[in-house]
Amino acid sequence: MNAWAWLIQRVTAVILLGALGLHIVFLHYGHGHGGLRFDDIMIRLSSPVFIILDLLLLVCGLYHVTYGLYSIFLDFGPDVRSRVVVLASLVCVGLGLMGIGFFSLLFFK
Amino acid sequence: MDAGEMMKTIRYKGVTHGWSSKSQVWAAVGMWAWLGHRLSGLGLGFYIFLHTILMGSALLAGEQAFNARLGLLMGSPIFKVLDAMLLSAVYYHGLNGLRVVLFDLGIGVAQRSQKVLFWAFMAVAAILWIWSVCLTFV
Amino acid sequence: MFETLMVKVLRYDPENDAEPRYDDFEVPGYDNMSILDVVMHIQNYMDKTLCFRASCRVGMCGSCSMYVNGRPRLACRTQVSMLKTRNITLGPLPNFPVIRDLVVDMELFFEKWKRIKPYYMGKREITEPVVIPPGTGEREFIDDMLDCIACGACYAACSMVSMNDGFIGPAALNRAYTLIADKRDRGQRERLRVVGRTDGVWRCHTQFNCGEVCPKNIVPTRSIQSLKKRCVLSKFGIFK
Repeated sequence: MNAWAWLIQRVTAVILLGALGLHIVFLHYGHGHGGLRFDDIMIRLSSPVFIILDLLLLVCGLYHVTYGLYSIFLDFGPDVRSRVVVLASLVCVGLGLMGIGFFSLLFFK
Repeated sequence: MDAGEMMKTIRYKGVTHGWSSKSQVWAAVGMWAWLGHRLSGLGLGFYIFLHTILMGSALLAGEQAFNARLGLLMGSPIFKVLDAMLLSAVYYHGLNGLRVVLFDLGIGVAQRSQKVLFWAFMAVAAILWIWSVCLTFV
Repeated sequence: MFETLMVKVLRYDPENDAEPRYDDFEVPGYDNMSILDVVMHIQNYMDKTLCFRASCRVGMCGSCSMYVNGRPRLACRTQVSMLKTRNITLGPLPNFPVIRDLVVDMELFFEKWKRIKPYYMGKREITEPVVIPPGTGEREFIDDMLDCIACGACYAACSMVSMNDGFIGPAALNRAYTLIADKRDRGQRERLRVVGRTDGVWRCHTQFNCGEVCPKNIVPTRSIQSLKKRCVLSKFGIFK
């Protein structure tokens, strides 16, 4: 289990390097003067490519963060009980944020 | 208390007795690279938490509320400073992370090359950051 | 150079002292003097109660490792001139419990060492000596890692050990790799299981402190990275 979790951490890291790079570039160039407006986002997210890109960013980013935080926690050598509690909490928060992200990306108008 | 128990009560570790500040661990770049990675990771994690909630709720709140909120954020000069800080964390974490991935693939895992790699990636990060900040502020 | 060395040594006798303290000694220096010479001089001529471990005095046994000016080093292999200062501070290795003065309790270190089964277990089907031609690269990596004398310097320098003494540590992982990577050995699966646990290889974050201090110029991080690769690849049924 450890090996899989670690591997996915590395895979999401590489995906994030690309996806985040694109995200920053698109968001920077995706608006006119006066900052980002709702319409700019409407235009971008009307294409399924961008929705998928953002969803990918969301899922990979949240996995990466959850694993990272859990790894920091594990470095302190906690007992099994604490591990279960912390992991469960982190996963809940992560899934919750993923839910917010999914919902807002797919159902905003 | 017998000798065995006595030994168990002696926990004299460098960290708890002030050695860590003078310790050689801080002399080499690998330690700083890791610390920076961890701190930037925590910062970015906190940012993602905020970003997902704020952006998500703003999108769902509708056009007017969204524009109002984002106008407020992006109009303020503090935002640009925070943005620059965010980008520095992103570039640091991303490029040092790439260095770590190289290690995982077995590339550059040697005492000297890991330091060279660190500085090379930091040079790239610095260039990217300066370029991004110029784009933001200009 | 016959300059006087100003030596501070951490003293702690759990049976008599409530707290550790630093004792100061002025030790006459001479050419090619090593730290081991320094503590021997102190013990012979200044304070017979100073405790330290030493044996071979030629960097082979690993007994005399101690904390010298903020760095884990072998006392016999550290020349005073290498430190580039007259002021020398000596202490027991960090990350180990202290038995007395410069002597530390290596029990947990060796318990972890034993956990990875640090001995060769030949494959039962091998009846003839195995032929490994030179130049194939099969042994070069392993042979360098085998130089380990279990001095504990890497373990003392590892910040992951200092955060969590459940972490197996660089020395044991390095030894585990030399055997897992040995194609003649049959213990790969069980050793991989041990090192693949939560307190095993995954707690290494490639800080390279271990490689910085190893008196044999081993870089345990290299072994650990190879172990991580093996742990992952074994999930896909590939043993590299």
